[in-house]
Amino acid sequence: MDPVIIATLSTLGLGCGIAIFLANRFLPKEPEHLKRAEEISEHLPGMNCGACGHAGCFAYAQALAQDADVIVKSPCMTVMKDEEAVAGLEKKLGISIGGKGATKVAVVHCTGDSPVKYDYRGISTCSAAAQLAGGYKQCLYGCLGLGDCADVCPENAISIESEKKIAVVDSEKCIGCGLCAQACPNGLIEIINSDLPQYLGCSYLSKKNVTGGERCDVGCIHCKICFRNDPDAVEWDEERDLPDFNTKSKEALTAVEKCPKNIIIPRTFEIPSKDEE
Amino acid sequence: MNELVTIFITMALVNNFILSRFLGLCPFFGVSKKLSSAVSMGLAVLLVMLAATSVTWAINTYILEPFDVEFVMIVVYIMVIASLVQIIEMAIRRTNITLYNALGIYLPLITTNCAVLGVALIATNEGYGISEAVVAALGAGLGFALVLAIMSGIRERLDLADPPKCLRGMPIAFLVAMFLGLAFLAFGGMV
Amino acid sequence: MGNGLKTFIKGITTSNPVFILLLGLCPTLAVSTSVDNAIGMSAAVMFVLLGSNITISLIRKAIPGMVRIPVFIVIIATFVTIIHLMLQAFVPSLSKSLGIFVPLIVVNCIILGRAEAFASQNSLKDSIADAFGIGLGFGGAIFIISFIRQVLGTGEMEVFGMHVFTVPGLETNNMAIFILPMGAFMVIGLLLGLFRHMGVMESE
Repeated sequence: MDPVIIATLSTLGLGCGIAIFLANRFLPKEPEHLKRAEEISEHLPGMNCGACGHAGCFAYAQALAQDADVIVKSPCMTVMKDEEAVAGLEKKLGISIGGKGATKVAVVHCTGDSPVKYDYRGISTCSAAAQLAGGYKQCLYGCLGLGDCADVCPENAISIESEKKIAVVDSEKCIGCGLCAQACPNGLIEIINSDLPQYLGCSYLSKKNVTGGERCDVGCIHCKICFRNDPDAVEWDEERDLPDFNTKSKEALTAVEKCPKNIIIPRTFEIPSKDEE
Repeated sequence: MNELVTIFITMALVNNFILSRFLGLCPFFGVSKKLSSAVSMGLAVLLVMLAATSVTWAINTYILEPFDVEFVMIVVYIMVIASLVQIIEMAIRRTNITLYNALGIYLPLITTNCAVLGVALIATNEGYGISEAVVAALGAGLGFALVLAIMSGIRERLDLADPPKCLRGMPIAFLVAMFLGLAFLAFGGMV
Repeated sequence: MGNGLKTFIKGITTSNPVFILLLGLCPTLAVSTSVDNAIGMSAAVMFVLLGSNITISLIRKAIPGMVRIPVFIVIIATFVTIIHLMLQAFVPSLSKSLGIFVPLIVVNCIILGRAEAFASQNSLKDSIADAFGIGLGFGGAIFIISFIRQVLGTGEMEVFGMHVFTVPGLETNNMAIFILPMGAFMVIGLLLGLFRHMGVMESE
C-alpha cells in the first residue's frame, strides 16, 4: 500500500473534518428561534399551502417560535383538525389553543344545473372561462366547474360533479384554509364556521329587470318564504336580495322544508325528505 | 481576456450544462415547477459551484498533482464538495435568516448534484488555471440558473394547458426541454 | 429466496430506476448515443451498485446515524475510482467516449438512493438481489433508449464494431436529431408517455 495515498487521503479527510469543526466553532451562534422553529415544525403538516398567511410551514414555525400568539391570530387549519398536533404544539408553545370550535369549512354557493350558453373550447380554467361573457353557463353567477378550486385545494377536498359541472366540497377533508375561495373567479366559495347549520346553494343576485330565464332551475327566486316562515333563524339581505343564515346562526328547519326550490342545504342536521328531487 | 469570455459563453450557452451536457437534470425536473423556487435553486447551485471549483482546483494543483495521486480525485472531490456544502449551509443558516429561508433548503440537495462535481471535473480535465476555472464555474452556474428559470416559467404556463393524459407531468417536461435545447443550438454560432 | 427474487424483479419492473423512479437521468440521456456506450455504462453502474450495496449492507450496523451519508458517498466513490481506473486500462476507447460520466457515477442518484433506502436497512442477500435488479433495470432502460437513438440517428446498428443490421432508407437519410442531446429528451419523453398510455405506469 502506497503510503503517499494513505497520507493524502487521511490528511484531506481530516482537513475537511477540521474545517467543518472550525466553521461550527467560529461562526456566530445559530439564532435561537431557529432551533425552536425546527421542533415546532415537527407538528406542522409540512404542506406549505400558504393558507396561514406565511411563506410555508417552516416560516410559520419561525413566526410561532418568536411569538406563540400567532397560532391564535392566524391558525393553521390542518393543525386544528389534528388533535395530536394541537396537543404537541400546546406543550411546545406553552399556551392553550382553542379547540375544534375554531374550525372552518368551505361551502360552494351553487348547486345548480344551469343550461349552457355556448360551447366553450378555451383554456380549461374557471378564470379564463369567466372572462368570456361571464362564463359558458346561462347563469352568470353559477359555478363553472372547470376546477380552479379543486386544483388549489391542499387536501384534495373538492371534486367536480361531472354532470352538472359544479364543485362539491367534502367537508370531512376540508380544513377551511380559504385557498379555494381566493381561486374562484365568481366568488362562490365562502369559508364559514363549521357549526353553521345551513347555507344557501345559490348566489344569484336578483336584479329587478332580469328575466327568470337567466338562472337555472334550482336558483333562488327571492320569494322570501324562508324569511317569512323562520324569522328567528333567517335574516334577509336586502342588498343582495338573498337570505342570510350566518348572522343568526340557528337551525332553520321550517325554512329548509318550505323552500320551493329546495336549495337551503342543511349541514348539521337532517330533515325527513317528503318529496324526491 | 478573450479566452475567459469564450470559456464563459461556452459553459453558459453553447454547451449548456443542462441542455447539452445533461448534468443537473434531477433538480431541473424536480424543482422547476415554480419560478421562485427555481431561481433560488439556481443561485444556490451557482454559489456552490464557485466555491467548489476554487477549492478543488487548489487541492488538485497543490496536493494531488505534486504527489502524483490524481487517481484519488473522485473521492477527494466529492468529500470536499460535501464538506463545503455543509459549511455553506451552516454559514447561511447562522448569519442570514432571509437568505436561508430563500435557498437554504436546496443546499443539501446540491451535494449529489452532477453539475457541481461535473464543473469541477471539467475544469480539472481541461487543465484550467484558477481564473479560467472560476469563470467556467460562473458561466456554468449562470447558464444552469437561466435554463432553470426559463423551464419553470414554461411549466407554470403548462399547468394551465391541456396535454393528452399520458403526457401530463414528466413526459411533456422532457419534450419542452427538447425544444429548449433546439433553441439553444443557435448559440453554437457564437464561438 | 422468495423475498430476494421479488426484490430482484421489482428492481426491473415496478421500481425501474429510470422510467418509474426517474433517478439517474443524467448518465442515461448522456451516454445513450450508441449501444456500446450503453452496455459499458450499465456494466459500470452494475459493478458500483453491487460493490456499494454489499459493503454498506455488511457494515450497516456499525455506521452512526449522523455521518451515514458521507460514509456512503466515500464508499461509493471508492468503487467508482476502481471501475474508472479499470476502464481506462482495459477499454480506453470506451472510457474516452463515456467521458466524465464514469466519475459522475458517484453522484448518481440511483446508487446513493439505493444505499440509503435499501442496503442500509436490509440483509446482505436482499441487497445483492436489489443491486442486480436495479442494475438490470437501469441497463434495460438505457439499452432501449440507445437502441432507438442509434437506429434512427445513424440508420444502422453496430455493436462493438460488429455490424448487426442496417435500416434500408435511413442510412443515407438519417434523423440526426436523435444523436443530438435533445433527441434524448424526445425519446425518453415519448417513451414515458407511451408507458403511461399502456397503463404500465400511472399517470399523474
